[in-house]
Amino acid sequence: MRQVLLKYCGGCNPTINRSKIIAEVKRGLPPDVELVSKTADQVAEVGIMMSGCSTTCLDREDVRKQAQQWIVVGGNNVNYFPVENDQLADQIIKKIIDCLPPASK
Amino acid sequence: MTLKTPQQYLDDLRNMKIDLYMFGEKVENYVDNPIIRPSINAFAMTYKLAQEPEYEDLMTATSSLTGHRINRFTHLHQSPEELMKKVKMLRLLGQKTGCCFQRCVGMDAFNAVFNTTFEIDAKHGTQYHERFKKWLEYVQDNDLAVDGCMTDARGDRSKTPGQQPDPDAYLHVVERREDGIVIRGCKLHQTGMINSHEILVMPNNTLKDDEKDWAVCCAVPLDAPGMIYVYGRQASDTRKLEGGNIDIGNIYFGGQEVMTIFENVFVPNDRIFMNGETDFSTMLVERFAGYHRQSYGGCKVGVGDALIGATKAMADYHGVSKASAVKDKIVEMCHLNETLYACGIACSAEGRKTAAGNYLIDLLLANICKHNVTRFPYEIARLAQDIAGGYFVTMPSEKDFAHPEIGPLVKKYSTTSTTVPAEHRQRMGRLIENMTQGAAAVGYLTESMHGAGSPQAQRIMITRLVDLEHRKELAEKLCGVKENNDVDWK
Repeated sequence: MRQVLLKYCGGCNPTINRSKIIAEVKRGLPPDVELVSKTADQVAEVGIMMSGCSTTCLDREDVRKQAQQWIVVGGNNVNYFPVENDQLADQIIKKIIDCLPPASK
Repeated sequence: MTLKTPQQYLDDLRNMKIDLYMFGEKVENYVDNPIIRPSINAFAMTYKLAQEPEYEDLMTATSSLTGHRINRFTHLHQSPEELMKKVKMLRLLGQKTGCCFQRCVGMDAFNAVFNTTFEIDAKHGTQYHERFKKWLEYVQDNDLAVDGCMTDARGDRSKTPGQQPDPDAYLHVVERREDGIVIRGCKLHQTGMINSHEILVMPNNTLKDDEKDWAVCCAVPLDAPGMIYVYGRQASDTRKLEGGNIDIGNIYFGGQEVMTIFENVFVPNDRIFMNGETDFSTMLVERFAGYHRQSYGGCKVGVGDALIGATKAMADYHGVSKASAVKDKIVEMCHLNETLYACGIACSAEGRKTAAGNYLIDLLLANICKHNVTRFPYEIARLAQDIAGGYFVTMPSEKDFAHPEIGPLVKKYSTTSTTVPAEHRQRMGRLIENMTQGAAAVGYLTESMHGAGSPQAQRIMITRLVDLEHRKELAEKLCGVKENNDVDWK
């Protein structure tokens, strides 16, 4: 299985439904990709920062060093570009697939 | 040179040849005009304080573009801490000038245009962002004053720019040439316009696909051919022509608003930062407005500090400062003023990084900040007038106080205490008059109402940015209308 590190913000005042979006992402990913809160490797290949609002408080150095590449979600922004609410899950899936190395055969 | 002295700034203005009108006449030497000079003095304080070691931490920053030490008014904010420093800097300047010092609007425009052009280029493959960075480096390295220029004349408010009987009601492109564009229109209420070196033009509002000519953002030197300026007058402005220095209230500083007419002004390509991208007009307007709504949580608080100080002084002069009712009213003034500051700090602390790299305030909290600013300064001013008593608007002129025959009588009957000269009460009363209903009330009150958008503009943004369905669900889970999976213990 290819693993993607998933980190959530504290969720104090979210403008998006984080768990609902992540559920959609899980459904849309290839079957050999799983979202995990801890990876087997010390530093993950890819991670998702799932912040509920545009403040994106998760984007900190201590979180950054836990993965080589990050997909940064902050409310209705992915990697700091605005995205419509109903497009968020699709955008995250696309970015995960773009970042992950190809599946080994 | 990256930090200009106030004297260098004034020398720049003296070298500027602009087409300016006031009271139906052309004004040649506007720097030394007694009506205009206080506004230049207020602007010059943004240069003065940047020179002072005791203020440099707030007034200067390290440029993200060049690494040079620059005036924070030309800076791109690099963190929430820098957004907060901006608010603190504006409060400081409000305290020092007691009026609108006019330079924040350019800084707010830089930050909005910087991150919006980055996103335009990412979508459309244009080159606006690099152009803008080059122009901003020129602004930073020469410590230029820039007017962020948004509000159009707007004609019939029920019609969009493209529907107006007169298309010039909103500034627009009238000609596209190989080497640039020609623009025509008028921007109203332009704060500090003729105290600036450059103008950064932005569209006024959301635009439809077929309104490309109105989707224009560009930089224009103040003395570009075709630029015409008509000075806006303020309450009691001609007191500045009377020769005294008491009845004007604030004897050094003042604000400035100018009708700015673009009569077929040519803009070369390297100064164009948006040209027809209607799909980004809303983003630019909302981000500029957001930054500017944050600004009000600093500048108006500083002016409020000065007004609270004037009120306390009047209470002392009248011998009533120990009265519990007076103390309570001054506490209320402070509470309102600090609430505005808290909003300015909060929207900064919750600021976020943009794709371009600079930081944007929290838009919801910035709108809450400005919405409070449309109300609280009026209440602070009402309490100041309450405590000041009526004499600040009924007292004789300073010429009567100085009159050889009636002067001693006027002073005798204006005296409140043997320890307080009548002139102190006279000066403080005039300052309160200046700030709450005279020339500075333009900045402290009406600008608080309409500047950076009228109250309804903030209510529209609050409606858009608050997720009411989320709040409804919170309540439904609490009272059992909806299942609450959080409570999973027995």
